[in-house]
Amino acid sequence: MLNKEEVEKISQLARIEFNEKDIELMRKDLSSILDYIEKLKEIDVEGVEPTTHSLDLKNIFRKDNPKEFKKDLLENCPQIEGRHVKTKPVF
Amino acid sequence: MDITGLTIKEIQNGFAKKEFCAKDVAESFLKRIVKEDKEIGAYLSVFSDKAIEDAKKVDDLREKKSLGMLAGIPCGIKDNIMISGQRCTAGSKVLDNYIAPYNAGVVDRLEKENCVFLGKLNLDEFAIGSSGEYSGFFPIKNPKAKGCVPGGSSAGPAAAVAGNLCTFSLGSDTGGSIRQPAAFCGVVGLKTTYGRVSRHGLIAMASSLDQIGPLAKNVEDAEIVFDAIKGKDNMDSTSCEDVEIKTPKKFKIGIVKEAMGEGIDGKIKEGFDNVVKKLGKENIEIQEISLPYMEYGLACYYIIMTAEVSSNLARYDGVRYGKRSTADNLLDTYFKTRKDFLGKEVKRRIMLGTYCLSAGYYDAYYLRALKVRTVIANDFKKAFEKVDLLMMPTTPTLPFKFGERIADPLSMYMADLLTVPANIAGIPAISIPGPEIDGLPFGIQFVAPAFHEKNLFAFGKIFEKI
Repeated sequence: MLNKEEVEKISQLARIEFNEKDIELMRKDLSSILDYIEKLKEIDVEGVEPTTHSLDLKNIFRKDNPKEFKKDLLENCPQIEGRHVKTKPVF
Repeated sequence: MDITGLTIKEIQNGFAKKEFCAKDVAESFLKRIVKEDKEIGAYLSVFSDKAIEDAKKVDDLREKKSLGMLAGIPCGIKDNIMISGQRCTAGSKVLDNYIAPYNAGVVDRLEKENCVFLGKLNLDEFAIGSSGEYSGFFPIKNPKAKGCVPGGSSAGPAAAVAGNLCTFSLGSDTGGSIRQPAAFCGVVGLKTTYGRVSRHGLIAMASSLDQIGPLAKNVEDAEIVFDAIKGKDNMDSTSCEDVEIKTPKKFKIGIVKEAMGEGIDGKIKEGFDNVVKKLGKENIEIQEISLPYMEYGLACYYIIMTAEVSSNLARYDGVRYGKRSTADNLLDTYFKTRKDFLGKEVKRRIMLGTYCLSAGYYDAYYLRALKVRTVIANDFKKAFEKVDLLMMPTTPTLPFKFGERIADPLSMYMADLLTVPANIAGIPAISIPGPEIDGLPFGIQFVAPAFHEKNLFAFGKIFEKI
């Protein structure tokens, strides 16, 4: 079973805030799902290649044709200033 | 005549005989949506004026020139597929105010065929869920089974077709999200081969698994829609050129042994057995096939999918689009926005995926799951050396009641037990309604090798007549 600190660490990595009650619920839910997933350890995967993708495609390119900038892209931003996306400072 | 109950072919015949025009068809559906959809909740937005306008255009064009193959056919689109200029929420509060800046590849193709769009269909948030109860807006009801969930995540697309609120719809299937609700609502649902249909403009959930496909009233309609949307799209680097395949004169069908084992409800087993017996009488070659690793599909899926979800949904941080919560600094803005606007199940999966990808657990979970993925795909390859199609129930149980599984996430995940393997292997699969059990819809699933959709349709049409 995951402990509280582990769940808190994952929530930091995932950038999601939880209250005490939700951390406890998450701890219970994640632990039961992880127990189920343990099942995979029954299979011998020695020497098996991993599949990231079911198609064997490599280096798919298309022409990079510039198109006119669409105003609607910016209109979806929560906050803009002129032609810029605005946020709180990073540093 | 009730136009809303007709198939694509029947509407086309009506057009040809001038029994009605495209405007009549669009109006019938819009009227029905106003009357019935309050109860069902299939639509998140309805294009009342635009649909009539587009239908009129079709009627005008019909006099002058040849039209596309879906001219005047009214459809609904799952709300994680973008239609330019229309709101696109993916069923999430975080995208409540998002307006799609461009068309999805599949929408472009349907437009080219002069299809009429009735609106955008409700879904479990970000296509995450198996019951339609996780929509960020309101839950969807099953028109064919009172008190029962419609399945998910393409709950709106399935309920809309089943409730005659559109003639066909497009959904997306990551682990069963087209086939499982199709089975619960008694309609046909097709998960296409990975790469066969463009995903440009589909809001990503798990990119190595997501695929767009049709939900329709019968196999013939599903085939017509598939033909309209398939093919390479330069805007989706995973989409590929079409492959020609041969259709056998006599089909060899494999019954999957493991799909009748643990976790499968007795009623489903009985109903499925009866269908197999009927097929046996029809001079169809049937043999039992074992997919020994299929039972690991779900565990494998819940690692790969959540890992990809955690990475794909990292973009909902309140910076470039969607909702933003107010906080003192940028970091807290991320934390608050994601806390306030993402749903419970979405958070659960982001957390699980983040854990599986985090330092120290990557090899044990993610890398192992990718290797198991190879093993499961090989299982199918071996099976298809012996048979043309595999057959199994679409779902392990009949449609369940609202609230029945929402408290226990693992029991909800089990609903995808039999649909997940096709996504892991990247192969096509179709759910076709079987005879009802206790008055409830029940789906039979057929699975084919990659790019063999044509065989699913060919056999599906034979199966529908039996």
